[in-house]
Parts: sequence; structure tokens; C-alpha cells
Amino acid sequence: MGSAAFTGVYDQAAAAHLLRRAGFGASREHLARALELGLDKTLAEVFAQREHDDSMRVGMERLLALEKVEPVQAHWMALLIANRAPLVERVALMWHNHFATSFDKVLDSRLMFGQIELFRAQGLGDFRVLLHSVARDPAMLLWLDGDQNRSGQPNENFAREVMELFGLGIGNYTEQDVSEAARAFTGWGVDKRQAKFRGQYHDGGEKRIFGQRANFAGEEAIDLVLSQPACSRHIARRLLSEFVVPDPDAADVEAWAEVLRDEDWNVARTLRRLLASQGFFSAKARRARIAGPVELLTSVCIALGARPAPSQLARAAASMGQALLRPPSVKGWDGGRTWIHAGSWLARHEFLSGLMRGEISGSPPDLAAAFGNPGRDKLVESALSLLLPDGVPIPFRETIEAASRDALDDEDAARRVATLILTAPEAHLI
Amino acid sequence: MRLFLPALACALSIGSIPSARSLIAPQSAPQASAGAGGEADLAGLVDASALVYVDLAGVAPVLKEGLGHPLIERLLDSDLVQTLLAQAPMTPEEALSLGQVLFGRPVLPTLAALTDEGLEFALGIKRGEPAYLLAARGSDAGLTRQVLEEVLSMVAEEHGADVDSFSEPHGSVRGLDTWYLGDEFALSIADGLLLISNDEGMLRDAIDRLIDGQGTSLLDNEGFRSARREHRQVAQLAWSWVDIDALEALDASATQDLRSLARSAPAHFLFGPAIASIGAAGQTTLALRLADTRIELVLEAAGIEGDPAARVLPKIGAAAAQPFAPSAEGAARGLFYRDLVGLFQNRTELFPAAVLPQFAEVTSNLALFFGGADISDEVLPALSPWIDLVVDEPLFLDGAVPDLPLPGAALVVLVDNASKVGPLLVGAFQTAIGIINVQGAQEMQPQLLLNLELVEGVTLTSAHFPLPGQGQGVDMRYNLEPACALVGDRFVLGSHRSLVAELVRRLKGGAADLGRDGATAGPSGERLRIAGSAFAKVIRANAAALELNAVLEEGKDPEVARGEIEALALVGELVQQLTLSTKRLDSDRVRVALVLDLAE
Repeated sequence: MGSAAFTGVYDQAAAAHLLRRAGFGASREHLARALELGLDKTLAEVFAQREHDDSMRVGMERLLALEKVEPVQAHWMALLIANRAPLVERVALMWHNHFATSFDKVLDSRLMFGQIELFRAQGLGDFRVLLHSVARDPAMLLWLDGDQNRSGQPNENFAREVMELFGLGIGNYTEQDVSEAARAFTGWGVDKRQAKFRGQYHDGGEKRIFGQRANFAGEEAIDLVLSQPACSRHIARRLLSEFVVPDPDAADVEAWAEVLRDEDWNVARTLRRLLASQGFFSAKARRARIAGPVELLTSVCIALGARPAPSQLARAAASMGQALLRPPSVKGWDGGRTWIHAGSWLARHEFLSGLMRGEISGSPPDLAAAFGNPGRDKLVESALSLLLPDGVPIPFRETIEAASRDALDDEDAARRVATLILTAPEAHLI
Repeated sequence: MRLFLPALACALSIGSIPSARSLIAPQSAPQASAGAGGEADLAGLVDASALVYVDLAGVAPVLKEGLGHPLIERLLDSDLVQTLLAQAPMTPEEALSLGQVLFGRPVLPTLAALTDEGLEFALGIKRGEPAYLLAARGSDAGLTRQVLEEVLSMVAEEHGADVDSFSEPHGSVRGLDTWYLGDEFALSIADGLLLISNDEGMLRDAIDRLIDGQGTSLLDNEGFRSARREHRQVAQLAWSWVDIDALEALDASATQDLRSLARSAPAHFLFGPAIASIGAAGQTTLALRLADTRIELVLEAAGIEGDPAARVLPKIGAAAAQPFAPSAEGAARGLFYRDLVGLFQNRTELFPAAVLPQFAEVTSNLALFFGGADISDEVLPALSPWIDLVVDEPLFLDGAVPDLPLPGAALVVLVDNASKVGPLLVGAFQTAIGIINVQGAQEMQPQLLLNLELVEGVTLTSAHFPLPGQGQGVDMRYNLEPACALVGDRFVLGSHRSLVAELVRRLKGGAADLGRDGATAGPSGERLRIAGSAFAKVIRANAAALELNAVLEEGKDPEVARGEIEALALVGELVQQLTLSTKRLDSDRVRVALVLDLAE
């Protein structure tokens, strides 16, 4: 796959692939614009879109006073379907899964919101800065018992996850590295929702981490993790599995780890090269991932202009197995094939069918407008070019065309066609 | 002759019968009606079994004044209506002008002329189906007939029928010109009286009573007569009467929800005995009254005597032993009556068996707060059933003003044997704080800190959460800074220390000048007054959160949500105060009144 720049044909399918991965898909107009602009300008636009509607922030600061997680979940869904900063949100969702932290233990919606805001603010910046910030994030300190990590009674939870999940991956550290790093992290706690270093609880003795001996503090232990060759590979693997293919091969991981280091650990610059690479646009990468519930619901709403209440979307995602801010464990969501099982598939099917029937948001989306008012004869073509531009098997296309022909009227035809496409397995791949 | 829809029939000239006005005027009222009080109106024309009667006599004067009616003028001038009208396709004046163009005559004056001698409606059951009769009486008989013919022509045109088929009546009933619109409606006209019904039989019966003046009618219903006798002494826009018992006898499911009110523990505890006892009523009346800047809705429920719900109402004629001197200040003020002892003693008859275990549970839990004391024997009997409520803007601790600020509230009750029971109440408050802290500790929540201080020589017990970190947001919980104090024989319990402290100062300063036993002047019923400006202030203070909540929970467009929240605040600014009051009128009746006073 490699890191060579893309030189192939940038067609509608390629543009749709880019917008699906760099964000959460596109409307018909947005897709047409991306095609018209070409790859470079589209990428420039994707990276420039970073600001949300300010009123959403002001209101949210007040709603946080309710001390409930549901408004935070709904707020995130609202930002996602508003689609004003798609890459920022895509990356925030990725880091939320990477540094998976759950409200169920933290029990503080402000801290959870603060952590997601941290991912929004720093998620595209220097990964090293991000890791240091996460280590001092109050939600993370509570989640991994950092506030209970004291000299003489070290709690290894945070140190272990920094190595196993956040920075290196299994096999790239020893148990001694974990226990010694845990000593380095002692003393940190949370006071009035802020991370606070309490010197009296810090272990000031000498520690041996990755073969180096010194009186390491927490920050230095993080730096040692970042200095390990495995770290850039670990992060490169995360970027590749999120943006390109779920199981990247070792050579690609190595190549992109080098790019990450070359770009001074800057995630945005690394992604800028990744999203313009030959590997990213390869056939192997197209529709290679099973969409998570949040990705699926967001992309359907954006593509069809559907606007259910964000709280409904958050609840629907939860019913499909992805409750935002409530990942099942410190490993996050397993994703991939685990997204689909009998129960979750039924939940996806019911929600999407209900959305098309207008049962979710009170009225169905304006499908005619979403498809560009194509008329009955071009309905199937227009719908497929928006929702499945990579093409579909002939029998499936014939089924959709038959449904369109048999419909009572144009509106019914659009609803039938959209429902059939969205409930087809292909539409659940991104 | 069926010209238009299946039931179209013939007509007869009006000239062959006596003037209908002479038939319906009180001085020449038919015998049966006259015998029932000389009120020869629609009530004298419908069966005694009528379920609903509505008198809209006050509508015509309002129509006559039109947009110049003081109340309508005030509403039209308000920021709320101006804001709403800014989004409307036309102004009220333009809408009326359009109506005049469409109908060929001024809309409101014409409607006023058609109803200036009365507008009434009755609903009953005929052959197992709902049947209604509407009577409009106008002083200008020619106008009434002319308008009727015009409207019928328009209806015919609308349905693609021959317009001429309505130019003449389709038949007559006892000499009254009559038209039929399919099986749905029958209309008869005599002089200025227009009768409309969806049941031809009901219409014929009414005309028989009108002409013969014989047969029983609603006026023979004693309950109806006595209810209306009282209402006629007060000018009102509309008055309605509903026979709940009769409705229940016909269809018990229709009154099921209402009946459950009298047996609902939440209704008794939250809304009070007067509102709960409406569920036991045999008949109810509802009156709507308008004044220059006031809208009043008065509901009376009769037939409650004998129901267990009546046992927990205030004593008849007794003034309230108000624990605290009334004051017009503050965001809201209330005086409630909750006979907790009566509710406990009558619980087996008042409430469904399913909720009785909850009483035992509450008693047991409260015993924990009161150090093992039996609350039904030792505590509740010592508390006055009259409870004073004060709602006002509290002073929050520095650095702890909540991001979603809410008004504070305090309750004042009179306590018998205060030297013994008072400490029990204060102790229960402290125990409650301890229990809240235990629960909070299990969820890693901040703890309430207890504080004792002297205010005007009175010990004030309060609790508050530790100050939040700077810039870390102030959660909803900071709206709670609970406090209590015993001032002589008055126990004060409030959501905020500042509110309780202020009440202590006022009580010590002589505000507790009302008597304990109702001997001194005091209200004889419950009341709750809410200041519109305070409501508006709460809405505006929380507007950003309310708007976003509407976006997130209901999927509203942010602009739409903003407009709705602003409209809600403007409603508050338009209303000077909203007053809800209840009163036990006698052993059999209660009254619930809702009064809306608009800001000048």
C-alpha cells in the first residue's frame, strides 16, 4: 500500500470515499462540489472546517449543570449531523475509542465533556502533546484510578494502559516497566474537577523504565513511552485502521510510522498525506470497514438531510451497541464484525426503516430533494450514486428498480428505494 | 324532497307561525319553562337528560367591541402578540378586512348581531349517539335569515351542489322554516332564532317545547337550575355545566380519569384536597370571565358531600390559620391546606389498596428521620394543615451561583407544642442531610456541610455544598442550600439559607401577626400567586440551556427554539400575576379559580 501519493482517477466514488472517511459522508450537493474541486482543494477544505456553531457551545456549558450524560451524548450527535467540522469530529471519535473513558465510572458529565473537547482541540495536533494532556485529564485520572495512585501503594491501571492501549501495544513493554511507571505517576489526583499534583503522595525514588534509571516523574515516563519505536507504530496502526483498512499490514504500519515521525507527530499533517495516498484510494480500502452505529446514523442523516432529534440518534446508536461516552471497557468498542449481530442488525434495520417512514422525526426526510428531484425514471440511479456510488450487484439493482416501479407514487418510490439501499449490507460498509 | 344530500327536506314560510321571539321572550315563556324559573331559553328546549350546556351570552358584547375591546387591545399591544404577528401572514385588521371582502359584510359586527340575544349549546344522547343543539338569537331577524341563506349558498357552492337548492327552505317543522344538510345537520329559523342540530329528532323536540311550552326540560333538573341561578348573578363570557354523574351512567370510561383524581394520593398531596375532590363531583360548572386586564376561569364542583375526599377539605366557613403574614412581594406566594392527619386516617377509603403499603413505608422511613418517633401520632397532629409558601430569588454563596439558577422556596407551618415537636423537626432536617451525604458518598458526590448560626436570636440550621472550583462550572445541585429554623411556634423549611434567614427576620419583626385558630382575619381557601415577571426572569436566565435542550431533545431548528423560548419569556412579561385559588363553598361544593392579570 505504501505512502505514495494517489495518482489514480478522482471520480465520484473516490470523492465519496474521501468524504466518508475524512468525515461522515456527504449530501448530493457536497459530493458534487468535492468532485468539482478536485482532490487537493477538497482536502484543503476538509482540513479547514474546524469551527462549530458557537451557540451550541454556550448552551452546552449551561446544560452541563444538569450533571447528566445524555445531553452530552445528544450534543455530540448534534455536532456530528451539523457537519461543520467533520474531520475534527471524526478524529475526536477515534481518540474517544483510543483513550476509551466511560461516564459509568467517572460519573461527571462535565469531565466527560471536557475530555471530548480535549480531543476536538488537540486531536489533530501533536500526538505527544495529546498524550501528555490525556495523562492529566481529570476524567482519565478518575477512570484509571490515577487519583488513587500513591507512593507505597501504586495503582498500575493508568501506567498499564498508557503502554498497552495508548502508546505501545502488547509485547512492547515489561511488567517491570508498568510497575515502575506507575510509581512515576504517583501523586496525581483530582480536586474540584482539576488535575492536581500532590507532592506528598509522589514516589520520589529511583525508577527503572525501559532500561533507564532515574527519579522519573509522570511527564518523563510519558516521554519514555513516546521515545519507544513501538509508539509511532502503535499510533500509525490506529490511524490506518480508522482511515484506511481495519487490519493494516506491518509494512504499511512501518511506513506510516515513519511519516508520523517525519511530520513531528502532527496528526493533521500525517492525515493530510494519508488521505491523499495511493493506499487510501486503493480498492482494498474502499468499503473496507463496517460502519459503527454513530458513523452509520450520522452519514445517513447527512446524505439524506434527515434531522431527527439528536437525543433520538444518541439513543438509537446506544441500542445498536455504541453509547457515546459509555464505551464497554478501557479497550473501547471492538468494532468490525462485532458491530453486527442479530440484535444490532435488527436495531439498524428498524431505525432506518422508521426514519424513512417518518416515524423517527415526525416526518420523513425530503428524499426527492436529497436525490436531486430525479423523477421516477432516474430515481434508482440518483439514489445509488449518492448512497452506494461504488456500484451494486445487478440483481440488487433490479430489486430496487422493481420496488420503484411498483410504488404507489414518486414519494413512495423514493422511500422504498432509500429503505432498500440503506438496509442492504453494502450500505453498512464505509 | 332531497336536493343536496340524503336528508334534504322541504321548507315552509315563516309567516304562518307566531313570532318566534314572542315565544322565547321571558314574558311569554312556555309553561314548562316558566315553571322552571321563567327562563325560556335553550335550557328550556332540551331534554332534562342533557349532559352538557354552554351559555355564551357574553360573546356578542365582546364581538361588538371587536379589536377595540380593552382586553383584546391590551393583548394586541403586547410584545408577545406583536412578535407572533410579525411572523403571521397578515395583521388582525387585515384578516377582518379580508373576511369582509369574502363574506360581503363586516365579520365581527355581523356575528355580534346574530348572537346579541343569546348563544347557547347543549349536548345530550339521542338513540345512543351524541346529539347537540345550538341556538343563536339575534335582534335583527332579517339579518339572521339573510346571513343564513348566504352561508347555505356558500356551503352548497363549496360542495358543488346547486346553489338555488338552498334559496328556499327544504321544509318546515311546526311552521318553522327548516333546511337539511345531508344526515348531518338540520337548521330551523324563526324570526331571529336559529336552531342547529345534528339530530332531527332533537331539533323537533326543541321546536315542540318552543311552541307548546310543555314537557320536561333541562330547567327541571334541580342541579342545573341551582347552578345557573348563581352564575347569572355575575357577568361572564361563557358558562358551562356538565352532568358528570349522568355521563358516568352512560359511559363509565368517559369519566374514569376524572374519577381517579379523588382517589389519587399524588393529587391529594400535590394539588390539594379541593382539586382532588373535583373527581368526586356529580356536576361541574366552568365560567370564563373577561375584564379589561383580567381573564378568569372558575370551576365549581358539586355533589362531593359523602365522598371520603370531602373529609380532608378545610372546615366550612373557617378562615385559615395562616402561619405567616401575607405579602405581595416575591416570585410566588402560596397558602395550602394539607390535612395530613386526615389523609393518614382516611387512607383506606381514600386511596386504592395498591398504594397503602407506600403509606406504611413512608411512615417507617420518616420514623428514621424523627429518631424513631411515630409521626402519625407524635408529629403530624402537631402541624397546622395550613402551609405558607414563599418563592423568591435567593442569594447564592459567592462563587456558587448555579449555571442554571432557579428560584428558592420556603415553607412555614404552625407547630403545636413547639418546645417538644420543634426540636424533632430540626433533628429530622439534620438527619436528612446526613442521609443525603451517605448516598452522595456512595456516588462520589460532594458532601453537604452543616452549619448552625444565630439570626435574630433564632438558631438557623443550614447546609451547603463546598464551593466549586473556579471556572469549573456550577452544577444544578448548587440550587439547593437547604435550611430550617424554629421561630416561636413557626417552623420554617427552605431550599436556601438566605430565604429562610429573611423569613426568620420578618417573623421576628412581627410578620407572624396572624392567629393560630382562624379567629383573626385570613383567607378561607388555598391560593397560589405567581408573578409573571419572575417567571420571565427564570426563562431568560436559562434561555441558552432551554434553547439547546429543545434542539437536542426535540430536534428543533435553533432559530425556532430561540423564538419559542423568547415567546415564553414574553408570556411571563405579559402576565402580571397568575392566581390559582380554591375554596370550599359548602358541604357539597368546591370552587377552583384561575385568574390571569395582565400587566398594565
